[in-house]
Amino acid sequence: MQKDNSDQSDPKIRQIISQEYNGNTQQLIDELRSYLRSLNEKSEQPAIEPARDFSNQPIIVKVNNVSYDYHITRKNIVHALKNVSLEIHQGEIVALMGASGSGKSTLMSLIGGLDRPNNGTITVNDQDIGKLSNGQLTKYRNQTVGFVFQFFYLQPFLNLRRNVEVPLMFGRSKRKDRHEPIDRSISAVNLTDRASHKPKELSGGQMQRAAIARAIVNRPKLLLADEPTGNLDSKSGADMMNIFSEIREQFGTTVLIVTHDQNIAGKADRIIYMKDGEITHENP
Amino acid sequence: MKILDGIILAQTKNRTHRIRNSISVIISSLLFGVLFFGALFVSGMLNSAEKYQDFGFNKRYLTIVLPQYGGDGGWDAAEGRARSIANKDLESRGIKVTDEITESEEYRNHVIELTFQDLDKQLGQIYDELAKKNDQKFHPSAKYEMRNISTLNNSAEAITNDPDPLLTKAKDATEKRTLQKTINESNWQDNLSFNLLDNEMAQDMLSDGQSMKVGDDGSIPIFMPYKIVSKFSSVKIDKKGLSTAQINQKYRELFNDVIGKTVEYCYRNDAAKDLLIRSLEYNYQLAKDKSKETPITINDCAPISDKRLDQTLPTDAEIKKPLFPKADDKQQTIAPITKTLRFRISGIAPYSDPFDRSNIIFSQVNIWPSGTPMIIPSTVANDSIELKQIIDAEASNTDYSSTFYDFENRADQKRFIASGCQGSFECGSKPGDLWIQPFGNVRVALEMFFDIFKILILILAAVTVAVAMFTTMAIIGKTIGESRREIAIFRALGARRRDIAQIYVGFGLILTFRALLLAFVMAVVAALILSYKYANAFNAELIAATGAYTSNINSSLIGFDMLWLLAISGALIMAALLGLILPIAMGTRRKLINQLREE
Repeated sequence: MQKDNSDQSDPKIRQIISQEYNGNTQQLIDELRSYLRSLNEKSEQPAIEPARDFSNQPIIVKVNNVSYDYHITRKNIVHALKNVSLEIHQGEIVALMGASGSGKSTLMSLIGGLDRPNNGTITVNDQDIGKLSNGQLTKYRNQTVGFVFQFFYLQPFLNLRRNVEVPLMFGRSKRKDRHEPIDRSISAVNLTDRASHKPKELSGGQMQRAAIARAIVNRPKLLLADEPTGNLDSKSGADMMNIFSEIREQFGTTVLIVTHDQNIAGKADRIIYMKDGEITHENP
Repeated sequence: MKILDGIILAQTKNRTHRIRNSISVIISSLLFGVLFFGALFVSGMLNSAEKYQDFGFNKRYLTIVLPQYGGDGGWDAAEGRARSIANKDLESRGIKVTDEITESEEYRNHVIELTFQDLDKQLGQIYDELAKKNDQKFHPSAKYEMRNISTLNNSAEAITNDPDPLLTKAKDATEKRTLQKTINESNWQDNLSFNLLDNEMAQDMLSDGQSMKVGDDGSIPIFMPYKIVSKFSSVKIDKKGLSTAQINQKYRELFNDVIGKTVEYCYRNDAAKDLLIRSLEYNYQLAKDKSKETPITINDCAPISDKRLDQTLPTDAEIKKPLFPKADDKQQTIAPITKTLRFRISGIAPYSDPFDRSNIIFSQVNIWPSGTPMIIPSTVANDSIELKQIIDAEASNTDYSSTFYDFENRADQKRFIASGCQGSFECGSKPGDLWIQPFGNVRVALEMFFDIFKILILILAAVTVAVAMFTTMAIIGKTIGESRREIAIFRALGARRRDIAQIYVGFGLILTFRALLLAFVMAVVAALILSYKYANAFNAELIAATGAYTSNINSSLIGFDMLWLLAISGALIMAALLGLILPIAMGTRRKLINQLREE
């Protein structure tokens, strides 16, 4: 496992990792954890807990030797993923980092059932999504995973409740059975008082929280967030990670986040780094 | 996805590009508005006509069969033969045929008369040929068959063709035309045709309390067209500024003033007298004993009070000797003798009305006024009668020109028209064909009138549907093209392709229903405006066309025929659905991961 030398915006962290530990990585981890704890104590907002050990939790996502090619033209093929393997345990918050074109969004899309891998297998919640029929895959996207996007994609003419209701609409649930999950989801993102507001009446952070509420309305096992803070200021970005943490605590949801933001990734339990369609290393 | 959910999401599409969506709605609604308007307008006219079902011939399905002139070269050939006969006639009397003669009005009139005689002879041949051709059944359910014998018409034509001596004193062409018009009116030349009806047929045309029986005072009943009836009445009608109700009231005043009255009238010349006497004779014989001579009273009366006619007549020396003197010496070479004929007006025939109108409705209803039955040879049984039998019975070389049939219902009439003329009354264009056309029924006349526009309406409907389809295709295609990312997001959230299709079908249908509503409202407003402006005039036409002088019916040019309205709505919905198929198929075909990645 390589040491991550990418840019660190927090000077304290830079200071910690720039110290000489003579190969004693446990000391480095302990110092970082201690610093993060101190940050949490200072923060008024509930902060993400330091990374925990999830190895005893069941594996919810298992990616095994997955490859995926994009056909730009008939002859022009982009090898987006090359024999990628990873495991994610239930309740884990994992950040996928890497430069543009590194394959992180493609990996998340395949885990989310937006397509099937060319090679290898992806098993989520004991379902091999490569073997699911189109109908089953649609149901999988609706029930097992929840998506959060960078640009929210809320329906501008629907209020927050209706926006959150959309996956339930596609899931064909009865109308009378929708109130509870909608209320629960909105409450989970602390937007109960904004439930009747339309997106244009919400701030950027609120809109993203609304998008998260929509993503979790079906209580998915896995929440997939593609650059969820990319369109937010740093304060809202930090809030978003706290929301993910709360959701994990409340619903036991596993979260996979694609991000460029080291601060955001730093709040995850684990960071997986990708480059040129391959996983290069993980942190911790 | 549940229907209501689909509508909720579709509605968001409708609100996204309001101006663009509205433009597409307006385009579709304008086109379908025209169709809606047509349906409302036509229904309104037909419903209005329906109100006159109890008047005139509206309960009957009369049909006229008219052989086409033109056999053996048509008019030109007949005229050539006529010229040859005329020239030989002149030459045999030692008169040299010069350009001056052939260009004279007298020569021209004579040639026209000979041409008509030539063509008349051909009619008998046409009937003969048709009879020989097959056992074609022309009127399987015709209740009555009537013949129009053109020899009687010829006597009427004689009035036209024989120059009135007074005309020779006209200073110029204008005065001649004015004089001719006055003379014609005096002779009732154009108006005496519609007074001979079978007794039973006439029941539909009789005024309340009237009959075709000879009166106790010996007065012979006769139908009179409005135009002539108005001569006996002090009620004067000027349609300007009158409403339907007022026009109706005037008609009733006229009716009350003349119906049942025994009147005496001065006729102007012998030809007119012949025609009128023949009518009275016929009516008398129908009512009484055919073998007895009709007791017609003829008295002298004062000259007609028209100053232009009441002038010194030309002497014999002043009258130019005609180029083609009549062999039977019936040529009017002396001044007309004014005499009185006495008769009773028992009904008003809708051939001509006080307004002297001549428009499409009136002419369609009274399609062949000058050819209305002059003689009814027999009442025939309901069972099938072949044309051949009729011809055999009536002597095929008689130069009769037209035959009338009276059907029990419209279906029989239609079948008759179709069987007699290979499916269309318009097939009388070839020499030897028969022209067959309904007659006397307003509703049928209107149907025929609208039949003319049937192809136009079908083309318009096809264009409208196509435009609506392509408009929908364009607008939905554009919207879907702009919503690829959203579609991908929806699918990531668990939407099936069917759900996406449902949203855009819903969107398309919302636009369609908006277009339908707008189209219908625009059509109703247009029809209401048109109805407000023209319903009175239309009503007046119906009154005149049917002779509905006892009615006070208000017409409207807007009618709601649910079948038509539903058909038009269905066409628009179908067009929209067809227009949705392609863009939706294209929009949902792409790979989901590519859709998300490319945007």
